[in-house]
Amino acid sequence: MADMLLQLIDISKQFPGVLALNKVRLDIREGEVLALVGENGAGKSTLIKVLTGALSGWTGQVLWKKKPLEVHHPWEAQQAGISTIYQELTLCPDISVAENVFLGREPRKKSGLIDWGRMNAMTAEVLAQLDVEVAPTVQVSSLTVATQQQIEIARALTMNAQLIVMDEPTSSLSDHEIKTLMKIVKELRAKGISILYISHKFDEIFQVSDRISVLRDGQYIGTLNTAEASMDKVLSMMVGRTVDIRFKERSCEIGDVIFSVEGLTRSGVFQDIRFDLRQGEILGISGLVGAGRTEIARAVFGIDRADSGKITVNGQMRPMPRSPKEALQLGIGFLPEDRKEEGLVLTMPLQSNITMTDLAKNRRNFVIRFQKERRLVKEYIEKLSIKTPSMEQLARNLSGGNQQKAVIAKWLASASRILIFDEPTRGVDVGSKAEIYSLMNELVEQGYSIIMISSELPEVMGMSDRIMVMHEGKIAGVFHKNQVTPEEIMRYATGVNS
Amino acid sequence: MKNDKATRAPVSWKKGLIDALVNVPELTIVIFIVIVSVFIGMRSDAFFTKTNMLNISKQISVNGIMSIGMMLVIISKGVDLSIGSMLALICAVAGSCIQIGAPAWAVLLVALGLGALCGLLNGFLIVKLKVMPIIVTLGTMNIYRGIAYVYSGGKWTTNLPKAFLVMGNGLFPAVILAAMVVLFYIVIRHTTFGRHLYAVGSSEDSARLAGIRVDRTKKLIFTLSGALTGLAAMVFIGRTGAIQPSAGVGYEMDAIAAVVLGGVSFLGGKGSIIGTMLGAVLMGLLMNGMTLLKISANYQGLITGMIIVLALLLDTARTIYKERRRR
Repeated sequence: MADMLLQLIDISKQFPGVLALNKVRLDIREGEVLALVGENGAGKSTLIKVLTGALSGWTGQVLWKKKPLEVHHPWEAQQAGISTIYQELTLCPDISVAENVFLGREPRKKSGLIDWGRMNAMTAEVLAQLDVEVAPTVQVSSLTVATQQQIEIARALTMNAQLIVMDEPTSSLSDHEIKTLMKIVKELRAKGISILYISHKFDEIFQVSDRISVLRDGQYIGTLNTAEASMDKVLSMMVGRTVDIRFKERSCEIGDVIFSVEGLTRSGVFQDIRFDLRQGEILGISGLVGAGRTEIARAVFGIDRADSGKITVNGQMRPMPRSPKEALQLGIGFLPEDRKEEGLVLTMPLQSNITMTDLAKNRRNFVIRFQKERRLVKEYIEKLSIKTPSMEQLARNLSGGNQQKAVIAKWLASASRILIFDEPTRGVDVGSKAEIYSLMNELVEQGYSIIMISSELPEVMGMSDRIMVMHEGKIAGVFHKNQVTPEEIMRYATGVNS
Repeated sequence: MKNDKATRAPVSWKKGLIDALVNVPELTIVIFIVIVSVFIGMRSDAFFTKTNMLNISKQISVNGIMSIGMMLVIISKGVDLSIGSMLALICAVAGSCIQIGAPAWAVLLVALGLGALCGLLNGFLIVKLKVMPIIVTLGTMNIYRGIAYVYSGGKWTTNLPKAFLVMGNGLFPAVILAAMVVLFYIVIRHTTFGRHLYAVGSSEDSARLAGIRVDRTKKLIFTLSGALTGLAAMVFIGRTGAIQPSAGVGYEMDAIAAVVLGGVSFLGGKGSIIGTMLGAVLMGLLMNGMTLLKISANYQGLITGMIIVLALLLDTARTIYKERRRR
């Protein structure tokens, strides 16, 4: 058995309101490819950040070659020999390949000036090792994403990395490019370099990894030898919990179809999307990051243009809304995933945020009637139990849960009856989560209709009446909540069933 | 969770003073104004006289009006470098209207309309080309100035009919400025447009998602800035009694200085009209004081610049202190 390279022991990390990592353990041996899997929010990204020195304030121990390693800064991790290739590539597009590979560590001549000759030569050498046919002097921006990724790997090699962490490396690659990457990973392993491979894609994991470790809800569940593992076993480790009793049974009646989408297509992003929404229903949309869920919502709400598509609202068929204001006037509301950047104006008081959509809807609202506004806002603060010392409190001073409630209040105030929630409880503390769920239940009982995009399987299972699963821009399946299990949803989401 | 408003009654007057300094951005400027006034007043008997105060009010009027427009633009996270050139162009066109005998109210309308049009062009280019305002208005700054020169043939015009000098004399400039301040104070505080202004400047994405027509709002902001420049042009003609294509050079910088002194942030989303006016007042006091104290023109720019930097440093210190206390 190969020597132990990296050991993570009892790593815990607390963020305000959520324990992201709870005594997580991980072992990586020399010359092995370890796959790390888990749902969105299981803690994979947080763990990677700990490992690569990008995060502080964690507890636990990191052992590198059996000796304790201080890794509280990125350069400490790099010096030890840990390199990371993030999902969003970190190359500087306007400079050359060689300059990127040696960024910050450019070889110098005796005079102190950069030794371009040596830099280019060393880059050419490492690129040849990886079978990458690109000249070192080429500008990075002219290269494809796949090639850029290979250059990041080249950079890791020149830093004498012994552990390369790859975070969702194939999310932007074509099939052919994925094959090339798999080949490179195997060659790296043959050289004695270890790879920590984080991915949702089971076919790749089973192709290239030696062992598979599973995280769930910030906890380490276990590790399997890939040769002995099966997809089902891994899935059940990723998902394996009973649906939370937090979710109460809803007894409201589901009415007629009030909203439907047909033929929604944007080339390269999503294709031929069609679905219906009934009154009083929650339609959950599940799928992996990048499946196109938020993109669909943005098209439906008029933020982004689609190539084609029609919507039918209250019996009237029309083209997709061309602006958020148009969507607003049709009675659609959109609560974005990133509530800080897109859901609220943080520097403005709660009061102004809550009434923003209502005021924007109608041109007749030119002059603000403060008394009316205050009354309305007070009503919503009470209805949603938003905890704030006053309605003039700036939005940025509210906690995550209360900020989310403010966003919800904003849309309720605008009288939109069709609400699209994108990750409604992301970054929200447990207490507020429960409140938001009961809010959503109340809303549908009052006749609102909700489309809920969520990456949290318990949430999807517990809240939705029907579940639509997306995979790489297409609808993989639509189910009634009683007709499907979490494992099946993951299967459709990862394309296993297609 | 800390409150951004000033909290309970201060324990000591010192703490109360610091609280006030930190939480009321305009207080720094007011203190500066007081210090500068006292300083000048002590050195020159002519300062605290009625005539001099009137002079100051006349002097700050043109910049003051233009600063209001600049304030709107900067709050929306933009900038308009073309207003100085716009002034020259509007004066040139107004000049020919005057020469063909048009009545004062008509010329005023032309000035406002032309200003609005130039502003709308700025807004349109910024929104359609999706280019940063600083670049677009840098271009239009040169274009408008060029048109002014071509239109007037590079010539000056003087001997304007008395009617046009009215707007530039006596209490008129100050009254016009005050009227604009009141008008825009109401617009900013009491209309949805005012809210949209701050929302777009602070978080354009959130504003767009909330249904605000961001593009339309931006165009309107630049149009208003242009119209205000048109108004300022009329006051300018009244004050100087002459039309010259070289008018207004550097006026956009003075407007930016007044706005920034007044606490408006270039990052958008923050600022008040009171602050901007105080900034304009401070600049006017400095100009006036340096003239009264017979400070050589060579030093004037230097001193103004240093005072601006000093005021900004204090404002930054204030913000840092406030942030630290919040944690």
